[in-house]
Amino acid sequence: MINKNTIGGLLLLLFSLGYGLMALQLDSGGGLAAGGFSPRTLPLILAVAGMVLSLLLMFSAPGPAPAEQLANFKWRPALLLCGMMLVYAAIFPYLGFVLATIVFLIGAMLVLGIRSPKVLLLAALPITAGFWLILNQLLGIYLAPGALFL
Amino acid sequence: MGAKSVPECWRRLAACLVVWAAAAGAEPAPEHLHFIVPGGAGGGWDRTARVTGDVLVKGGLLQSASFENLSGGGSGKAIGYLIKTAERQHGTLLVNSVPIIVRSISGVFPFSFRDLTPIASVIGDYGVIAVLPDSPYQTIDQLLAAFLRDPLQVRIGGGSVRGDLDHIVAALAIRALGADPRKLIYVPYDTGGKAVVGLLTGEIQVLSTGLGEALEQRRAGQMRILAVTAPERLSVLPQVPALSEYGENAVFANWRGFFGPPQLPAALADRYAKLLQEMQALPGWEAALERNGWVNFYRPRGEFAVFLEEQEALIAALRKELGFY
Amino acid sequence: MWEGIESGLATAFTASNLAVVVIGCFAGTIIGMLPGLGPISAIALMIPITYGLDPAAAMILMAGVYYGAIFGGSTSSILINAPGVAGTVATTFDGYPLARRGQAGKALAIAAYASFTGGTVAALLLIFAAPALASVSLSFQSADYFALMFLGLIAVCAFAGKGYVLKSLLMTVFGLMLATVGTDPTAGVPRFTFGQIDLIDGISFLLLAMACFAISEALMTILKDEDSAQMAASAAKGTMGSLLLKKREVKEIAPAVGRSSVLGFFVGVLPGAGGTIASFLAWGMEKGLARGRDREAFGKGSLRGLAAPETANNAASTGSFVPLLTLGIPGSGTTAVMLGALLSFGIQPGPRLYIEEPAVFWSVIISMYVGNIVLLILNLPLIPYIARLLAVRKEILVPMILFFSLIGVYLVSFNVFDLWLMVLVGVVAIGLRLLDLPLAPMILGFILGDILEDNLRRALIISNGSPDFLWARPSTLFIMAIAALIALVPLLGRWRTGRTVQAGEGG
Repeated sequence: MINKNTIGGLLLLLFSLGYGLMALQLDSGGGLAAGGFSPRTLPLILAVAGMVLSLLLMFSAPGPAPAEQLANFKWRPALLLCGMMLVYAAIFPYLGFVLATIVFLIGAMLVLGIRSPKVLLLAALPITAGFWLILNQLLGIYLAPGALFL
Repeated sequence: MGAKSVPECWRRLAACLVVWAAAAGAEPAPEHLHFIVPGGAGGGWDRTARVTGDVLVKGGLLQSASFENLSGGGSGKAIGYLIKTAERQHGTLLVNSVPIIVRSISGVFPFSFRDLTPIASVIGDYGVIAVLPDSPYQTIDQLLAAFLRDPLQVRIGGGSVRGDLDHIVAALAIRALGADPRKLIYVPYDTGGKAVVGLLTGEIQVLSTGLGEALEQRRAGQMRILAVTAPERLSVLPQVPALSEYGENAVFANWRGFFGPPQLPAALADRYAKLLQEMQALPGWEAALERNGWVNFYRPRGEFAVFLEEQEALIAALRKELGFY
Repeated sequence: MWEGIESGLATAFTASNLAVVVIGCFAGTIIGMLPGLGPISAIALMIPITYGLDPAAAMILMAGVYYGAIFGGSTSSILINAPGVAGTVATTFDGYPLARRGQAGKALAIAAYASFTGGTVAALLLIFAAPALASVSLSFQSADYFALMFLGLIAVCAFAGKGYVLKSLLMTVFGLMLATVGTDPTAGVPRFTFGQIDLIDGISFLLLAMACFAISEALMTILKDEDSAQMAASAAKGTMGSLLLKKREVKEIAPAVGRSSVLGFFVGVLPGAGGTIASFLAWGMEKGLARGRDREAFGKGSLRGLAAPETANNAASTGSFVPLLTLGIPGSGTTAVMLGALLSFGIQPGPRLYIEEPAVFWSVIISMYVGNIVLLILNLPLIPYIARLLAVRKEILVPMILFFSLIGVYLVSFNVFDLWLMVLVGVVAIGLRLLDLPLAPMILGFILGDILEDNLRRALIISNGSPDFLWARPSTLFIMAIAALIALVPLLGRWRTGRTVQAGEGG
């Protein structure tokens, strides 16, 4: 019967396999090796350990964790939030800290259902301004302005 | 630490002064320099840059200085950034040291110092071979004798990875002494400090480190210096032989210096180099050297570039001998 | 020695130095709450400010900032599951569940008391045992460090609870794998970086911690559409009263705190081992020592489970001053920065410091203690207000937490690549949680991975490639023996349950 352990074990097995294959391509010669150890020794050990353990996991009984109601999960807002974070990462170099953060915060709150402009602005602006003040003025940390403004 | 903005009327006045001064033939001091530090706050590069900027400003050679920490890729990130944004970085200097050579050889990043404009080196540190005061090896010859008998009893440790700075100094020393550097058992530590711990716990018998560090420890009575990679004996250590007394190619200095972006106009680069030279006459700089245990090592522009090439050749050859690429 | 202590007290209690401690603690706490700015950057940022002060005052300021930052890190660990500092990861295990149950105030209070006690006990141990300890700490070599890290990993897995031992082992291995991404610690060769220059330094701890804990938690809250009303209601009711622990609770955590202080202090004394491994070892130790229902409670909001790592962490921070002050060797990244600062004042820490500058030596120690007291006094009244942050609607809180985590990581590396990576890791973390795979061992494996490999390599270089380093020295042998014993615990447990329980399932 397919259960969480089978899936989890399988995924980690594949990961360990891939990891091990990459490890085999690492350099190990010459001055890099010392004391019988080279940059690939530990990764190979880990890959083997990972494969063995994940195989064991695949065939072991699932633990006593409570079952989660996957069906009841609110996937849409969560996915949209991930999307907002990706957008943040994308616009950050162009708009700079202040603008990008405001866009992100407002966007994220919109995704979660807040519609009132007052709340949106009251939450986003002070936090952004506050952080900018503390970072830039108080701590002297250099925040490069967005590429659009240079 | 941030760039100061100057009100309009003062700007105009300053501009007039600049024109007047230029007309009078004098070189105006640059308003502002931006320093990029390819490492974290508090590290060696960071301190070098901040102290330099600080001394320049306080000594009136510069109006203001700003600093940016941009770590990543062992300086790769900062170098890449400087190259990419070169046109608008004419007022920016990058601080760096020997690793820029080593890492470009070992492929940590795809750039080299040739992709930047060398301005000048300012401070330097010769390498030393040191032991604890009560070590069975009290001279470099005794160390050599023991090494030839059994390299495992003469483990040398340092604060760099294998193939990098401290390993190179140690290998250089062994080679200058006439032994095979490939037999050297080099034990790498994260930092020089941890290597010193290794020395104290007995994990290693010998330490490869910088002169500044070693002198500090020696002053505290906790270390004995056996040899130096200077071109000749140092006045502060007249009993300690320079490795060049034993063999060729045994001079090595860990320098710290500044680079400008590629295609920086020569006039600007020369002016910055001159600035750094004038800095050395400032009492603030003397105090800074004193306080941080640094030694002057000024080589400007062309001289700096030649020095870099020579060091690169030395390091590449040594690494190949040791089995790295 | 007593006159040294006297002069130390006199220096520490001058008005200006007290002010300095207060400012340091306050600044440190705020900075510590911002994930990207841990104690190291906080102290480094303070260095220019200290140029104007005399050495004793400067050290006092930095010590205050150091402790403040650790406390601030605990706060964000407990409230939003965002451990800003490696030493506060273990705090999230029980601190965050407590906060979710509406007991944020109590959790923060326990963290404060536990830290205070840990620091106090450690300060006492420091005063009386420092010189002796210095020489002991020097007997620890790479082989021993490797064994200690190995012990830590085994302990976390062995005490993982029914059905989770295998998973913990697997996740530990996964964490170790993640740690190998980047530049190899011994030869400087890039590994698993896919040619990305941004991965040359590996995945940063902060990134992994923020993404796995804070971001995944925030997203889970949205996924499960949980009601923060319960947390809000209790937080709103939070008064000073909830800050006082009931006698029963004090009795419950007292032995754990006692043990963890001693453990934390000694682990902190070892150069290179610090608050992180101390906190994990303490958590593991207490969980191992707990029985039955108490043990089950670990990881779900156990008071002991929160107190132990907090105590150990603070005790270890104090312990890490031992190698710094007596040998001039920094025991951790933070003390390394402090060492740099001391040197720039012309003070060379080392055996001579004790003799030649007793005023500095003792005033640093005394003020560390004062710093502990100040932290407690400063932060306790703030706790109800801090806890009230959780009362904010989740529609506003979650974006804030996400922003907080993202910017925190950005501030360390100034690299947009990290932001992308965080989203990826956050999603993977959610997947792992849904598959019932524990994240704590993964993080521990990740944190210790580098150190483990580094020490393993060195040990092998020194033993010329032979594995005898594992038993060549008595200290290594001792630690490995403990690890072996601990590894047997789950097997023994299974054997015993197998005999007494006739039913088929593990239950």
